[in-house]
Amino acid sequence: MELLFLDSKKRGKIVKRTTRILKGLLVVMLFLVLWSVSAELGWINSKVLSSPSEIIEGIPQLIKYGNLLTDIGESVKRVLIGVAAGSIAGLIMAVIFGLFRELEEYLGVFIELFRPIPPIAWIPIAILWFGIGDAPAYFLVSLGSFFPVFTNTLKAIKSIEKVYLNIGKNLGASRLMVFWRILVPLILPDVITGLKVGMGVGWIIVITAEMVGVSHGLGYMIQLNRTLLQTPNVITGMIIIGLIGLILSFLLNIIEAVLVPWKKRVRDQYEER
Amino acid sequence: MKKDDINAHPLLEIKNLSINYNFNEERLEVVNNISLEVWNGEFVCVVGPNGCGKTTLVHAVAGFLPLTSGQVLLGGKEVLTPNPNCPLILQNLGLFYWMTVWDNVTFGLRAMNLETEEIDRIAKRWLDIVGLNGFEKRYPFELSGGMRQKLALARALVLGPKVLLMDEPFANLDMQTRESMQEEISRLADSTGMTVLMVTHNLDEAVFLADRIVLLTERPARVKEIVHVSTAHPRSPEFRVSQEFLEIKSRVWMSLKN
Repeated sequence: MELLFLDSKKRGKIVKRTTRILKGLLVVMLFLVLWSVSAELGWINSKVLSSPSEIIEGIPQLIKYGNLLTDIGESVKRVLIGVAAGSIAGLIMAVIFGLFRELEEYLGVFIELFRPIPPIAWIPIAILWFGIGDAPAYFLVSLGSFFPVFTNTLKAIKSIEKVYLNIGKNLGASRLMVFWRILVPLILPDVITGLKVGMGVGWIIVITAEMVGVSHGLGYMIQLNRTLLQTPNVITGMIIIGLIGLILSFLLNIIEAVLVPWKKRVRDQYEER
Repeated sequence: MKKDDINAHPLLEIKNLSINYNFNEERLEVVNNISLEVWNGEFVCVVGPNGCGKTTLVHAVAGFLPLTSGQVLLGGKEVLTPNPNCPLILQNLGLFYWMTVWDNVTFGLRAMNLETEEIDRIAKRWLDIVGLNGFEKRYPFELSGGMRQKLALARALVLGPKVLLMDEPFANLDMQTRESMQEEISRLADSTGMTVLMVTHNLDEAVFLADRIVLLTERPARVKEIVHVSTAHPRSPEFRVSQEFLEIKSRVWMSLKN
């Protein structure tokens, strides 16, 4: 009933957003229903694809005896630390390259040689160098998240329009003020874009690395359950991986909305028309 | 005292200003030995054919470009870098699109390290004067063309500059908004006693606004002629269709044609 008191514009936005979420949920529900029904009616061989009920039944066991929560914690910890490290490295390198443009002429080719190598190809070397455990995961995730942040930040730095800096000076701003209030906001959208990509890449890498040579973690848990022929748990693992990936990107979107509020307002404006 | 001093010498002096560009080993003369005096409270418009170098000229006066030779003196002091004593309003405005209207307007004030109440007071006052009350939380892209102009003006005027420099600021506006903005800036200049140096290619604009119109030649720009407009300020919109207006405009037009 409180909805009646909000002005029509806000009401419209809430209604629009709710309908969008409902539409999405509808499809998910439909899919689950279809899946369950197919399993019940025997249309799907349960050895190949477990039914939703089997999957749900397996969860309490996973949590109690299978260390599910620990595994989730490990994977999330690795991706967050790895992406943080890779992003900071990417940022710093981009700033250095931005300040000293000649560096790019020397180091550009060298760095570009590394870019096409998928982080996954680094796994053997990573395990060789760092053994089995957290360290190779950190290394690989950092590596994977480095390039998106580095490339996007450098691009943003190079495309800073001088006019804004001049106007800042024109209005009497000190160098510090020009840096924090003009330069940083100008490159922030691209940095965050790089971060989003880096996070997405990092999450994929962490799972892959865990499947191949690391202990604990969701990737490891999937492999383990595969060897134990616990197919429902494998699927549980996959669903959780998907959900966490979604949550991570959702969180980054919130960060973006807070740090770069003008971007969203542009989008809303266009949607209204 | 101070008031006499400010009227005894030109507030803005451009002395033998020349600007050359080195373009692929070719030397391009853009501005050739221009000297100009702008007195306190004057509204001076600079007109000339497209590409003559008037934009380069005003950017150099503002300290945005290095001079090849000559000097720009503001209140006797040389202008070497962009500074808040002579803000430049660009054609593209350069509004800080990532900041709200309020943050844009208070930007220069914050650079001066004033007290928050002082900043609030000055900013509110100017937003009121230009008519942007109630839009403080908006972003520039949410404003109309005329409103963005007003924001650019307010952003510069809050600093209480001695001289206001403008480079074809109204060129991107439709005719009606443009005329309305001309009346606005005329009113502002008159009420604050501000000195203005404005570059425009629109003769109607120049004749309506200026006390003196400086005509430039084609590139490299030199001062061709200076035309006085003696009609008193504030000028009514009807001045645009008066006899005197048309006479002056014809003079300027003919002069530029030759």
